[in-house]
Amino acid sequence: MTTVRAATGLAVPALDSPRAQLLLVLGDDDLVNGHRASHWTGVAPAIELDLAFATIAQDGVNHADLWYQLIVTDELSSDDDHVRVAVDAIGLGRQPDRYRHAILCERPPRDIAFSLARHIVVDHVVAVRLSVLQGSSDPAIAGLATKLAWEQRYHLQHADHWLARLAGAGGEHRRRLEDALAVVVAEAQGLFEPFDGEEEVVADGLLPVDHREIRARWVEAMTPVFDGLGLADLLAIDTVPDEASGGRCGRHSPDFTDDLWPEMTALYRSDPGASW
Amino acid sequence: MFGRRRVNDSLAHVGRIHAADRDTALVLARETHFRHNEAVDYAVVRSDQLHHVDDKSILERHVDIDYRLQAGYSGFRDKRAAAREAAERRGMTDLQTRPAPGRDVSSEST
Repeated sequence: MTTVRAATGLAVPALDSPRAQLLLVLGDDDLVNGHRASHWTGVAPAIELDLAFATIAQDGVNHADLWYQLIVTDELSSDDDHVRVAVDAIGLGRQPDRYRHAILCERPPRDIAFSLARHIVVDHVVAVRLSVLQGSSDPAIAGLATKLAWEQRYHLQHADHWLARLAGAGGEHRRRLEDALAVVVAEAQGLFEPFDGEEEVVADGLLPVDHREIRARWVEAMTPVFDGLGLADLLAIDTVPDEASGGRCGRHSPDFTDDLWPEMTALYRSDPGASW
Repeated sequence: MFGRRRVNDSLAHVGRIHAADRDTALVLARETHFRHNEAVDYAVVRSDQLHHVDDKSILERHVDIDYRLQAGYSGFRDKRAAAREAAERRGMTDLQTRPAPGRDVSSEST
């Protein structure tokens, strides 16, 4: 145990390269979003929604694990002990200001309307990004994006179903969903902020298009979904509120630094490098 | 909820799901009943579309119906051998073994 623990400090690979920064953006959005979605496990309004949302939350954490693996090695190798130690160190061993997720992802669950609104909006952004990354010049990134895009289909099916149900139900359902979407869509603009190294990974083709084009494709994908439900006005929102800006540079809100991060990393920090 | 384990299997009842409508049931069933690769296909039927038999007493039996059940034929081999011996003792030696179904008896005699 002592040797593993001693090695942990060395196991965090360099995270400063543009490629690593891209993978952190992808992994951190999934990890933090997954943690916040897992809030509903055991307490969702219905057991069936509980199970489905728990799976989607788990997928987020798992997808983060896979993106982090590509920082450590060129190909996925979940069973390699060194990779496992390094992946845990990346996912749970960083200080809060080294995380690159958008601030929207770290917001507390509030109510089920907010969590479903975030699920609807963020999972569509993730789907667009996966579709872009399938054309990455890095074969490992392109290959993983293809695998994840397959799983993402259920996330979208689930998200679009609840969107249609709640928006179509009218009354309080519609009002609460609309209120949540207004906040979420505005804060979601933080997902499209550039990150350190973005210019380089776009120039190298690792990320085939930049954040502006990803946003344009997301708007294109959301338009038919929102249009049919009379929610198209939401897509006119293109500025991020100050308090939801800066996640890509490691500037996070107390929702992360004082709430989610301490909880999410507590077990890891209690014995770094331990095998669970 | 009904699921099919493999492509050629019949749909089998796997349990119930509580959902507001058909589409919600179909979206949520994947995780409620089929999250561990239990099926290659699934279907849902509203529980009010199941038509139960009114008089369940028609399922009761008051006489021996062993002859309809496999259990009624247990030990058949021994019983048949004993019957054959008894027949021979009574001098019925011409009791023939019946040909197995589908066997062409005429070609065998040549």
